[in-house]
Amino acid sequence: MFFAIHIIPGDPAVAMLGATATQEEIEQFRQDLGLDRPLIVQLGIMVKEYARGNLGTSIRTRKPVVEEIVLRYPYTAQLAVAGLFIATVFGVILGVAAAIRQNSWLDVLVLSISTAGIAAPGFWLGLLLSIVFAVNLGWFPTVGGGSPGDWISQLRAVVLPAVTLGIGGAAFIARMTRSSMLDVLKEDYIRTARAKGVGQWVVLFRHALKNAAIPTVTIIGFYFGLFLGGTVIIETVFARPGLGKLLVDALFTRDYPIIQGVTLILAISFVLVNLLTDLIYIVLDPRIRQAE
Amino acid sequence: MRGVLILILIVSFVICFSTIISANQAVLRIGVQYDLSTLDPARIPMINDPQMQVAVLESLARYKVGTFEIEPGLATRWEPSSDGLTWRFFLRRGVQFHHGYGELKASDVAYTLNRTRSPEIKGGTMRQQLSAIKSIEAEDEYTVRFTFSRPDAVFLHRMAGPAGYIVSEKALKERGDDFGSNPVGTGPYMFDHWTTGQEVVLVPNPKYWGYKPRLDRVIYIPVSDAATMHNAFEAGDLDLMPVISPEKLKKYRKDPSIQVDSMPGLSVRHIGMNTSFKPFDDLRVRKAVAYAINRDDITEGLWQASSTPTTGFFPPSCVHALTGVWNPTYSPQMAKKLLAEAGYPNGFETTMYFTPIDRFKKPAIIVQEHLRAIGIKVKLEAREIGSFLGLLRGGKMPMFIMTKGLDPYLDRIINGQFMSEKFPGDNWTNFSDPDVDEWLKQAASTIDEDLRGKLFKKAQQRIIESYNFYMIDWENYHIAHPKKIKGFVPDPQRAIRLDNVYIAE
Repeated sequence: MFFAIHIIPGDPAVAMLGATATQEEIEQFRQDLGLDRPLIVQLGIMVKEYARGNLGTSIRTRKPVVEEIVLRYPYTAQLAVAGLFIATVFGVILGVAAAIRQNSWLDVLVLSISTAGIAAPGFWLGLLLSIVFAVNLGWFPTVGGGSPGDWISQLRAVVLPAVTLGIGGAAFIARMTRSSMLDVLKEDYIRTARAKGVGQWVVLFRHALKNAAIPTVTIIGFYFGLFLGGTVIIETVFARPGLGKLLVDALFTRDYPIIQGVTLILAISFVLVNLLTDLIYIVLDPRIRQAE
Repeated sequence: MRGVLILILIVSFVICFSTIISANQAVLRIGVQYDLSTLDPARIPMINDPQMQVAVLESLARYKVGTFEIEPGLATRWEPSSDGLTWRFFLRRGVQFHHGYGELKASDVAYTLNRTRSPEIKGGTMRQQLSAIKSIEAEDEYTVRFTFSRPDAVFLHRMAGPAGYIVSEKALKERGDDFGSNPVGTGPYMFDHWTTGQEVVLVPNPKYWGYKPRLDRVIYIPVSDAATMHNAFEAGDLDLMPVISPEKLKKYRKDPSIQVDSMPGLSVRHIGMNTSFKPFDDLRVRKAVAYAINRDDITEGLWQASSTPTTGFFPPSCVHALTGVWNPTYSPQMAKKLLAEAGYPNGFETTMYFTPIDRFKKPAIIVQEHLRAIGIKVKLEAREIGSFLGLLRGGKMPMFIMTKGLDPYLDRIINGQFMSEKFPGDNWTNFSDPDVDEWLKQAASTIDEDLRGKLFKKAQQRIIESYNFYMIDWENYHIAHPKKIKGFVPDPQRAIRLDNVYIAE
């Protein structure tokens, strides 16, 4: 990653000082920040500092990278959790409904909506929702993450970005849930339960969904990791001060310490989410518990 | 179910009420492209327009609002020596720093500017601008003496700009590295807080020495995406923002509730031809390109007269600018004739680079079509700005479309862009003329403004005649705001000066 970032043409000096900067100003800036040193030397310094838990200092703001990440992470986490909530709730409900009413108009509608949801680009969808619900109706703010400590304003600010994020996830989760449910509903034990007179909702939610949930949990876990790292576009569209926007701004200004630090944190988050997903399997599937 | 409905009603009410509370204050929300980097005067990045800076920080001199006329700022008067090697500034008495940091004294000036030019400050952005200074001393409580190693003809302009910001010595020492995100200046508005990536909030300075600030809060909101910024403005989430899109400009001008203030900007949009690439080393080819472009298609057709066609390289507001000397003629026949004379009767192929934003992409496409008509096949290559600047400064672009944001004085740009020795680097097109080199060196070594004017004008005439650049337009600067915002005057350097700005009932 270090070398990949440095291969891109342009550097922090040019990005920070702009097109009007003179060569002397650029050279002086590079020298001050050690950017004129060989890449391997810069890499060695970075690794040494990372080993000490120091992710470096932002070239743009001169603040510690850790501080920048800590300030921004909650906005990304809020958005990821809210997006996941919307994706999961709507995805599961629509998937179950489509499976129960297979080949009906409801099933066709759900499949069509999910196809559109998967295909719709996030940038376009975000701007569309912003124009309708923020600009024209004025129900939500167009920009920002809400004021720190003011949960009402934060709630208002997260709705549209979370819906934008959640729609794509809901679409995929709906299809996966529908597919899993259809497989499970054909199983012998479901037929047996029905034959024994067990109520429809009990059959669906206690027996069928629990077993159909395992592949769906995989997708949900995957999407959570994706949401954490994939908020770049949504946060830019809604000017939301999360890690995604921090990363985009850092890329434009070639703020290497921020790029490296944010990428590392997002990678760690993705790994942790996958670990959590594996732990959830143990809860859901007794066969895995017994094998353990 | 009833409980759920009641809860929904309460939440809705609180949400609505929370927006009503803030409506009674005079709050101005300004859309800016970039989040705050730092307000440390030694490290202010040059990419940010000085929008937030001018409300909080001040310099010894300043520009009269909306102009480049220098007037007293923190200093009431100044005395340069006849050889330009010594300047004395006499401070305004009774100027108070924000947050109770006391009165401005000469020691604050000396400390701030010595720090700004010190190599101990890593990542300093203003050091080179003060490189001619040998020493800065407080002669007494209200007098500062600058001694120079060589004359600096534009020193007063530097002291009217970001290089000359003065802050509290005590606050700098106390706050250390935190100063940049918690500054103490003397401006009409004080720093209140910064929610990183979201907003910077200023509050009025009750002890300001100048006009009485009439806003209760000023909030700068960074929105990097242009479409989002326009949405925010139209939704009423922003009160003031720059307008770039000609379509939006037209729409806002027609809206009776919106006022658009325009100001001729300093930046010149241009096409550059790098003479280190064949066939651009041939003057006839560069002239042919100039004849082939119909500038009206861009300025009238594309931008709908929202910018000003150039008549020189530097705009008329720049000191010693030469204008009225560039009025390109559109003549494809003449272009073909010149190409044939240069040995390219069937044209040639080349590549033009641009950054993928409308202000460059759209005119690039038009120019591509114009050149195709005379046989020049132009391949368009888009590059993100960081990559673009890297290639541009490396002298690796045969042709490009770009803008140059200019200072009120020529020196910084002309001495970089048009000195032979500065290629690659500041000189983007390998412009090389020994006479121009000599004139520019002479202009840099004197403080005689008449002589500098003559030398600069001769240099500019040669620059125009070289055809290394095809100047398209000076980009005007448009700011939109609701009509209830009164007193706003746009600034040619795109600073958002809040002098006498208020919100009418």
